[in-house]
Amino acid sequence: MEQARTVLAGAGSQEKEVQMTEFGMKWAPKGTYDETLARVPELLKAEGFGVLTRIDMKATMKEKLGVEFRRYQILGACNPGYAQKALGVDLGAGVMLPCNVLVWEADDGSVVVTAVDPTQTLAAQDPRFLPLITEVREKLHRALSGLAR
Amino acid sequence: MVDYAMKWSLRARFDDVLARVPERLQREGFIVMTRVDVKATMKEKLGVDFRRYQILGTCNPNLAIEALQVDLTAGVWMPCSVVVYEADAITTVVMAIDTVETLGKADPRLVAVAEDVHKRLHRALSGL
Repeated sequence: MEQARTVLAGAGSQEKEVQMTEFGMKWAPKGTYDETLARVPELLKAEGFGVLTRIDMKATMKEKLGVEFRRYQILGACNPGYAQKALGVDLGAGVMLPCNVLVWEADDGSVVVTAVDPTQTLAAQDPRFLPLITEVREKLHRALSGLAR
Repeated sequence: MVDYAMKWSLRARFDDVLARVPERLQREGFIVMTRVDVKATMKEKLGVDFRRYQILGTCNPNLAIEALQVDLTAGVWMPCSVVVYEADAITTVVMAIDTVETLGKADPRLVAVAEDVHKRLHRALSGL
């Protein structure tokens, strides 16, 4: 897991630099937040992933807690062929589906895309899942690397 | 097999269990935010017949923000997936991701919140 130094505190508060563990694979896309949100599903589709779910964390935090949160969406992506293979190995594999792709705004306003790295998940500890998750990781990586172009 | 989930095997019909899961989760502050009908998706995308199987994405907003304040990338583990599937005509299985094994093992600073989520999910779904 990548260790990165990141500023956690937002604008207006005293900034505090902390050592933080970052999950997943990360990209700094070209384009605005809205452009990125529109582009991610297209790029995923090219590798056979459909975006099945979408959570707007900013809206959820506002609605449920009355809290202001940064722009942050969680897209649940799934490649049905691979999902079928995973469920064929173990019916319980659904608890690890879909694969999450985050689109969020950093403190400086830049856009970040973070995707779950299947090789960092518990499935990686089960040899039966290893070939599958290696391929899914490659496909996710190939799809989202298009964000830099 | 890695132990990555909690599991309940119930002598109840799929539809009944599916209807009860959201209300059980709500008692512990979880909202069902997403829903994937795996049977319908398999049929539509692959033309394959699959058992009745749904993945509910559930989130406790208070605990989610607690985790995100520690690590903004913790969203890769959200929402928590709760699976409901038909084992046979009279048996329905419910499974929930074990956050102590995922979130908790991945970042020591998230152990406390991961344990809280685990405890609440367990309490909610054990009531089924």
